Amino acid sequence: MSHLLLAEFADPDTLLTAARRARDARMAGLDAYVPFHVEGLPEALGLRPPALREAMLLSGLATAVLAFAVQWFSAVQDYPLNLGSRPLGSWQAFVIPCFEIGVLAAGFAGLAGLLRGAGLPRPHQPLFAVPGFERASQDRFFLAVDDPAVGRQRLQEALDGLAPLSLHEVG
Amino acid sequence: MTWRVLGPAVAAAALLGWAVLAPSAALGAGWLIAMLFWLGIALGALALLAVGTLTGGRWLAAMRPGLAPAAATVPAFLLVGLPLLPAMRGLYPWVTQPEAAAPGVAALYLNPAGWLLRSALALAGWSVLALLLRRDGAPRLVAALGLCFHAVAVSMVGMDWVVSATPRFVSTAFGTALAVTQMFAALAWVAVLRVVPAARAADLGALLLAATLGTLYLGFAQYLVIWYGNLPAQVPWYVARQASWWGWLDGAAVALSALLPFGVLLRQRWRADPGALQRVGGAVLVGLLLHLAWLVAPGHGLAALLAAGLAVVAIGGGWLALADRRLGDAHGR
Repeated sequence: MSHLLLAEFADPDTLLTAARRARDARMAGLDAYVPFHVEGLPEALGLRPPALREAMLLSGLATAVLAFAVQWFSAVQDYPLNLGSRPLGSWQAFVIPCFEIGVLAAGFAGLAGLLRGAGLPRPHQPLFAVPGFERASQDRFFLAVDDPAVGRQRLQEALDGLAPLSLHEVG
Repeated sequence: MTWRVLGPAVAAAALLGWAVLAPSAALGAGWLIAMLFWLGIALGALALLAVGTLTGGRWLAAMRPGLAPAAATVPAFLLVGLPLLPAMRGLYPWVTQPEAAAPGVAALYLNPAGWLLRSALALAGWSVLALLLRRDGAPRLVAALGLCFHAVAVSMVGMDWVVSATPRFVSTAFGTALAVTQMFAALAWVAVLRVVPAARAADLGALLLAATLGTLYLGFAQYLVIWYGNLPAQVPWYVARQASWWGWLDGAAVALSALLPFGVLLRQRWRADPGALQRVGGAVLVGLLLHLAWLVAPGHGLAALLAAGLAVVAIGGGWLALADRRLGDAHGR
């Protein structure tokens, strides 16, 4: 059974301070729920950058190479057709579809990676049972600590002076 | 600082000696390449100032210390362009053989008087715009009308100065490609100056990436359309520019001003790093200079590249002195 603690803050700066304190206190399973992008939050939580960019780049390049191979195969091997005496394998005609399909594939890889990284789709998420959690998409900033070694008492001590609006135990 | 005076002075003296002792068309081609390069940065800066004044945006405030002094150098090109007048005969076939242009075009449009009138009109109009848009808070109407003027003027001058050197060749995308390339050059110049504060460097990186793709797209689209059409009136333009090692010249230009910036700017951390942007900007400027040389020099041989090198130093000395002095003023020194 998971043991999740959820602390609520009114502004992003307090959340950043809280996240840094939790990170420096070596608490594990840190995460945050915020209504918009907060600069420096992943670093404050000690989260490693996801491998999303690399995955997008690789799938874009691989698809571009595949698109070139498909065009080359159909024009040179499968269905050679003399078009105004141009060479059958004319890279000039092939490169633009490669670029466009490469970008499309990178976009799809990004979407798939986002869903996977966010753990979606997910039929049940216990956090939604926390009263007021819907304001994470409006004007509240939540810090989540998922560490069996950290109890309510220890988190309260770590956040001393930051005055979280609420502190919930989930799970 | 003596080398900044001495180098251009020596280059100018060498060009002058060359012109007196052994006048050749290559000299004019070299001067045109260098003028297109430095004027291109100035006009790109002018166009970016106009776009920024019209649309607003924080990027303009961050880049203005780099863009405004560059744009303010435009009037000087009324003088820099003068050596092209005696060079016209060697550069453009329609000066001596009117049949090099389509029937009627030589008599009514493509003749030395018309060329001179259009070039002077374009440079004078750009000079007025540069003086109006240089300062913060220029009226948006001036920027809007200025962009309309720029769109026409840059196409007109691009045809007159570069494209008309190839008999009967027309490319409707050339003016647009030239305008976008100039904006790219101006952005690269701002990156080289390193005037944008580190917090705003990501904006410059994003604009550079967009300009890289726009320049590459317009350049390749021209090539693809002509390759696909495969028509006798169009193809000689590229045949002359692929002959012997000229193709490698543009290959180097594409590597420096398209593949390198695209590869580096793809990475978010490098896109926001002023040091990386400065190095990329330098490579882009070199690449764009090679591209201009590739557009103008084939047909005039290696001598045109030598002349272009000398002229880039000679014009650049004066241009940098102007841009640097005004840069100092912008910082309140």
